[in-house]
Order: sequence, then C-alpha cells, then structure tokens
Amino acid sequence: MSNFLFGRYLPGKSWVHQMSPQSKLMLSFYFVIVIFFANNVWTYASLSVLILIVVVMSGVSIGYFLKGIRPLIWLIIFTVLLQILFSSGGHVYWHFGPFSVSDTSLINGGYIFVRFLLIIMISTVLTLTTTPLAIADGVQTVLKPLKKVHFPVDTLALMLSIALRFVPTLMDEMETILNAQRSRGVDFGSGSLKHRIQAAVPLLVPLFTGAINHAENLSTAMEARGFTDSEHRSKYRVYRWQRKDTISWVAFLLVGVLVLFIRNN
Amino acid sequence: MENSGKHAQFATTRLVEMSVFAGLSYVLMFLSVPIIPIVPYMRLDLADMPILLGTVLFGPVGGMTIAGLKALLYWVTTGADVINFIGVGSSLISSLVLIWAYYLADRLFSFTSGWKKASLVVLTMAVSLTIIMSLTNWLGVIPLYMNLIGMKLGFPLATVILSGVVPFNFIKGIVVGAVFYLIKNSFLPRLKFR
Repeated sequence: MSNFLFGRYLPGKSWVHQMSPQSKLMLSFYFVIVIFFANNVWTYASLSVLILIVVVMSGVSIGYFLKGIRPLIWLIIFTVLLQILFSSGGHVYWHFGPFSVSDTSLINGGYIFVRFLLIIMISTVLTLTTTPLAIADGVQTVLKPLKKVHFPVDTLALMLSIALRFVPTLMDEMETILNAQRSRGVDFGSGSLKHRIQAAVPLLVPLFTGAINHAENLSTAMEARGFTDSEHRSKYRVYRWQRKDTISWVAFLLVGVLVLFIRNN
Repeated sequence: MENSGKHAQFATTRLVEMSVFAGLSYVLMFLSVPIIPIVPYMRLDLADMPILLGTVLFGPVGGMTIAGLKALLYWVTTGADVINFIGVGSSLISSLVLIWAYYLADRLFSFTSGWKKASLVVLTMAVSLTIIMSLTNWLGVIPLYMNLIGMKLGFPLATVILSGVVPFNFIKGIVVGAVFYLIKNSFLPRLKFR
C-alpha cells in the first residue's frame, strides 16, 4: 500500500507534458494499433526507436518507466513463459513432458516481451505526463461524438473527476481503518476463508459510512454554489490542440506507414 | 432512498454518492489476493462491494453506473492501453453479472427470507458468475488477449478455463456474496437511522 502512487503524474514542462490530453490519449490508442501490425525485427526496432524518442522528449527518467512495468511483471513473465514452453515448431533445444523450448518459441517469446514493453511504455508516458484530471478531460473530449446518441458525456466526466478527487482521501481512510483494526488484533492476511470474510466487515462498514458522509457534504456544497446540471459547467483549465500535437501526429503517422511497408506479409 | 431522481437536490446527492462509491470501489481493488496458482493474474478483491451496495441503494442502473465509472477510473489511472482494456472489460462484465444476478435473485427468492434466502441468492450469484465468466473467457477474453500480444497456445484453452477460470469465479461469487450480505446487514440499518 505504501508504495502506491496515485495517478503517477510527474510535473514537468517537456514537449510531451505540453501536448493536449485528448491528443495524447488518441495517440496512445493509435500506437497500440500500430503495434498490432508489427511482426518482424525491423518493425519492432522502428517502434522501439520511436518510443525511446518519446521517452527522451517526456523528460522523465527511465526509472519511472521501469516502475510502471512492475505491477504487470507477473502477467508478462507468465505469458512469455507460457509462450516459450508450450509453442511448437522449429529446432527443439530442450523438452520435458509437455514442455519444450525451441528457437521459434524463444523468438516468439522475445517478440511478446517487446510488445508488452512497448504497450506499457506508451501508456506510462501518458500517465506520467498527464494528470488524472486532464485524462478525464481528454476522455470527455474523445467521447464527445457520443452526445449525438444522448450519452451523458458531461455527467460522466463530472462523476469521473469527483471519483478521482476522492480516491486519495478514501485511500488514507482505508489505511487508517486497517491500522486501527490491526492494532485491535484483527489479522487480514491469514486464517481460513470464513475468518477472512468476517475480518472484511469491520473494514468495510466504516469505509462506507465515511464515503456516504463525504458524498453528502460535497453535494450540499455543490448545491450551495448553485450546481444544477453538469452540461453547463465552466472549466478552470481548458486544453486546446496545439502545433506540438500536430507535429507529433505527423511523426507517429509516418512511423505507422513505415511499419506497414516493412512488415512481413 | 431508491428513487428520488425527479428532484434536482436528490439528483445531485445521488450523482455524488455514486461517484464516491466508484472511488471506493477503485480503492478496494488494491487490496487483492491471488487465490488460484495457475492463473496468478486472477485476483480476488472487494471492489464489487460498493457496486453491489450501490445496486441496493440506487437500483441496478445505479450499480451499473458505479461499475462503469470504476472501470473507467482504473483505466484512466493505470494507463489507457489496450491490454488493460481487456482486463478492465472482463472485470466490468463480472461486476455487471453480479449486479443482475443479485437483483434478479433477490426478487426471485422473495418467498423465503433470512438465512435460506441469503444462501440461495449467493449461490445464484456464484453460479451465474461462473457460467458467464467461463463463456466470456473462452470466447472473448483469452483469445483476444492472445491475439493482441501475438501468442499461440500449445494446449487446449478448455484446460485453462476448467482448472483456472471456473474455480476462481465460483469462489469469487461465494466470497463476494457472503461478504456483501454481512456488510448489507450491518451497514444499511445504520443508514436508515441518519
């Protein structure tokens, strides 16, 4: 719990920081689609070069990116191992029962690893250079077309911002309650399933009570300030499309075209 | 408490309460434990508690709103990428199954009450979660995931599902249902006295 970094945002003034959230959001989508088309060494290499340039331009040290990989490390190891041990074909180096290691499985395992790395890197760039609130704003902009089908995009964005605002508060409260219960001798980590289920009650009930109190206070405050609906809200920060966004898009599109040309068909 | 949508005043309170519940669900997601060794990425957490409680307080649509919001929240803060999207999507589906299984079973078994009803509802939740999550994993989640990262599996998918997905979801359904009933019975009465 203590090493939990909410939102992971690092303040800065780099090129990537200054891009508008909606364009960063769309760019990371686009990049993952391009990763789909990569299938040989050259395509992976060009995408890796692109991501390295992005990392350098974000002005964030590489250590933070490695931290971004850590929560997913088990999923990565599991997938890569599964791929290496169970895929068939190629020259077999070693086998035991259903497991076998061959040159194709090693190469495929390596590709999967790089693919993971690329996808994680691009999303880490996004979350390291953009505050959660800015991403919520970007989501609102990206989803705007859904307004045509009467999807409440603005209300959704407002609810998302409120939820984001309360996450650190609730996190602290959970920590406090956990410690309070531990000091009374409640053991959350061990014991039978029945025991653990019962231990969840003294954690959850105060959390819910606190949450309801927060919500009532905030809604009273909102009404006192004349909140009626979320569609006619004004914004403190307005994000606009800039020249930096256009230039980045051009660069990414060029790499996308390059990947389409050099991939194996 | 359940339908106060017409008045703007209650609408704001409901909107904020649902948002805070989504935040709470997100927070609870970080207290998770893996329970079955062969599928270490399937972890049991209490994130469905605020969602189910929200279903009781605001109805199934409210519960679905909270579930959707929590999914969005997770996706926005941990990296808006496609691999995440699959995980978030499948956890959203499982929340939706729990919401509707609870809601419908609660109506269906209204002829009994107390212990009997609670166990019937919890069992319905667990069984429907197991069936639907096995199907989505079999037909959607796992093939999609493997396609996305370019993986080829050397053994039948059914093995993974029978030995990993089925027991996980059944245990999850039972645990979530049991904790939910315990919480509901000790939390809702307090809410009424306010």
